[in-house]
Amino acid sequence: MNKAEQTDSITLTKGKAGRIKREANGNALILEVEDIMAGTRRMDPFDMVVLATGLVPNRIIPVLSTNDNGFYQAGQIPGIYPAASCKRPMDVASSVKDATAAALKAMHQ
Amino acid sequence: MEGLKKNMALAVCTGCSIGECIDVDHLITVAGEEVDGIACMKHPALCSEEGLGSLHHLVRDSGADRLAIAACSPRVKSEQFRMDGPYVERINLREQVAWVMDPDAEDTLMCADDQVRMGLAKLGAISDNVPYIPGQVFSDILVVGGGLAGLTAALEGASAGYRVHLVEKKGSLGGYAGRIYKLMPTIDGQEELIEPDTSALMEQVVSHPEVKVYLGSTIDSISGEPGNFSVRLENEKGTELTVGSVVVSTGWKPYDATRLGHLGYGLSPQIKTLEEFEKQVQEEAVPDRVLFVLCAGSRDQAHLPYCSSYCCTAALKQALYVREKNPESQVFIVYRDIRTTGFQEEFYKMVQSDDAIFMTRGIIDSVSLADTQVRVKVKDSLLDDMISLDTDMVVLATGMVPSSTEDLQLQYRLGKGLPEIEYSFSDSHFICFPYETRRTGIYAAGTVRAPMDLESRREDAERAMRKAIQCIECVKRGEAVHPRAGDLTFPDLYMDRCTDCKRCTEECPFGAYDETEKGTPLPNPSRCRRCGICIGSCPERVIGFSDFSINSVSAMIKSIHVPDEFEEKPRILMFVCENDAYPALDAAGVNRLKISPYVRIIPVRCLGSVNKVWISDALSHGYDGILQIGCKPGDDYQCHFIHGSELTEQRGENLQETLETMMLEPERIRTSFVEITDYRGIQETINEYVEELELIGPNPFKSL
Repeated sequence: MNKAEQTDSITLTKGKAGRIKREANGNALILEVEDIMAGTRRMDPFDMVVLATGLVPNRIIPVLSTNDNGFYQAGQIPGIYPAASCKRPMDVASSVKDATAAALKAMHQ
Repeated sequence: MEGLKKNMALAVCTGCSIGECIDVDHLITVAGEEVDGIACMKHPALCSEEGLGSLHHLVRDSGADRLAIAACSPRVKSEQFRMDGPYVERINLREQVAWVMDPDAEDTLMCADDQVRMGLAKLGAISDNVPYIPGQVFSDILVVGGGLAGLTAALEGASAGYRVHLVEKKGSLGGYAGRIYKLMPTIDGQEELIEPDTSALMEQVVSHPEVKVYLGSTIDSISGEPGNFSVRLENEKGTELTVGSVVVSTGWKPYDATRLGHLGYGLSPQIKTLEEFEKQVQEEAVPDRVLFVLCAGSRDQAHLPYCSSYCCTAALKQALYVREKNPESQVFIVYRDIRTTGFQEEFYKMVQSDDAIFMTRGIIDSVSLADTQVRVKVKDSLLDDMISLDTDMVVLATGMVPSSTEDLQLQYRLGKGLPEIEYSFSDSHFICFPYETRRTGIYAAGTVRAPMDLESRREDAERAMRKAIQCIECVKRGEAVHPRAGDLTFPDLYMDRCTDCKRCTEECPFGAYDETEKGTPLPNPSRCRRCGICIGSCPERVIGFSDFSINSVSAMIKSIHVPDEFEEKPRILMFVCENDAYPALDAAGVNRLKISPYVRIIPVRCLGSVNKVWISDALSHGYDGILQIGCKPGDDYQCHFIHGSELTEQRGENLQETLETMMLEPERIRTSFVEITDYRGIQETINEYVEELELIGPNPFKSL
């Protein structure tokens, strides 16, 4: 994050995006955002807007029950070991790690 | 070695547009010229069931013990083309010729011919491999440190059927986790803090028949190699153990709060750290007003630049301790950001819903004493206001500092501990291989490796133990662990010609070589990751693998036909790192990007494995230039072997001297770095270099 902050071409704003609409006569997207730190409301034009959406688990094993958010809970049925992002939201490195851990569980005697 | 004549065969695939681009019959003629009596075949789809049938026939009928398959990249169809008998060399005609060069053009055909010559030359120069397996391979596993990670690792290892030796320097197990008052709720809808289960875990570990616990013990020395480490403990008995692998879970300590004078630490005992408050809450009454300062000395260039990822949640939890023990209390939390990832967010919401817990986003301006209270001035960053709060107690949420791994007392030439990255956490290839240290068979687990919360520590310990088990099983079969998993070759040293120059012992990133007092290398092959950096380091050229050696690569270099200077067909030798650059080149092929037909490609295990003699071989053979492409060096290195690319850069200076003595232009050798995804970049790098060389003109050694 420090690196991103120090990059001149990246501007970080603490705030909530209210609305995205297309400019009346143009291609730009107008992002309406409340800049919390400045206490202002801004209308900024962009060529592209990327929504950083969260992750939702895939559920393909019906016998496993899930928590309120739909992620599998570990340790329900001996012999079935949920690993990585079907168990909890996680990044690539953590997924690699968690899969390795699940493989160990499968080795239990 | 003349007596051991190799029996060779060549199979050429004409599918995937190879046949339309290349004169395959001519390739077979070339093979016949290069190797007397070589058995050859071609097939329109070699990987099909029928093609594979013909291939197996070819091997059986010819009795070949060396087989060249000229088809697609070795990175694909590896299952189909795996053979039980012969050594297989894959000649990449598809991604490196047919998909990137003009069909049927003279230069394309010459390139394909040379690809075949190089493959056959390699097959002629390699030797048979007998895997290295230590005299005796032990399956016991040492776990150093008896905190949450160490306990988890020990129990998991024992449950998987391996005997575990758990060493703890203190007189009791549990570590930090053993001192925790309560845990945040983990079950949906649960609103109460829960009792920690560390003592149950300790009980399970201690009573497990396959776990032996050594309390009050430290490591006196660890020597040897994966599969066979000798461990001496410093304790009353002077215990000696032999283990196959090691899990290091020596944990962390809080950042030194005495350096946080600006946050009031040291002014009064009312100003504490998270750890001090965790203890106090279990022993004494809790005052009416408590203020927590998050990121105390964290995400701060003057202190810890990183986020320790556990302190937000720990402080929120302690806020609930205060509320639980003293219902009249008020709690203030001063934060820059609240980082509660994953399901911890729900816990954060729960804490927020308590009306007596006040959260303020701001920065501490000053901390002073006012009568019996502590006065904290906060610059509120949301309201842009200065707030003054008088409180009975201030708790600083300090970050994590890893414990030193020097206590492992490794008897390695390269040092007693695990190599570290800049914040003194033990190094790993953190994206692709988060679990590996630079010492094969020794796996760091938990907070000694990276800052993490309790749940992550458990998971981290499980995966570390799994790698420790995998390592033992690999060593039993003579196989390398990551990233060349399953590789049965290992570096072999011809000691008669070794001059004890110590380059290999110094440059091996993994400490595979120890050395005698005189400097003679003492190889520990099962510590080796098989990168071949020692081949590149050795001025006497005495180090080699059975299928990757000074001879095998030299033979490939010398096998190609170099047109004379008047033909205006330059030849550029490319050493391509097989980890990232080679896949990038394959991707260029898949995207049908045009690559100059003047290049001749030799894959290497790491750029660091390139020996200087190959460069001079190439220049004296008449190549006009040499292009080495590897993974990115530097702080954010992507080299799979840590500093192979860096070494190449350093050695580059010596190579320039070689060029000078040969009276050649410095541009004749070029080193570039690419990322695995940058297939356009690799195309540009190659084609621009070829153009540049065409301007410089031919290598004057060409006609000699």
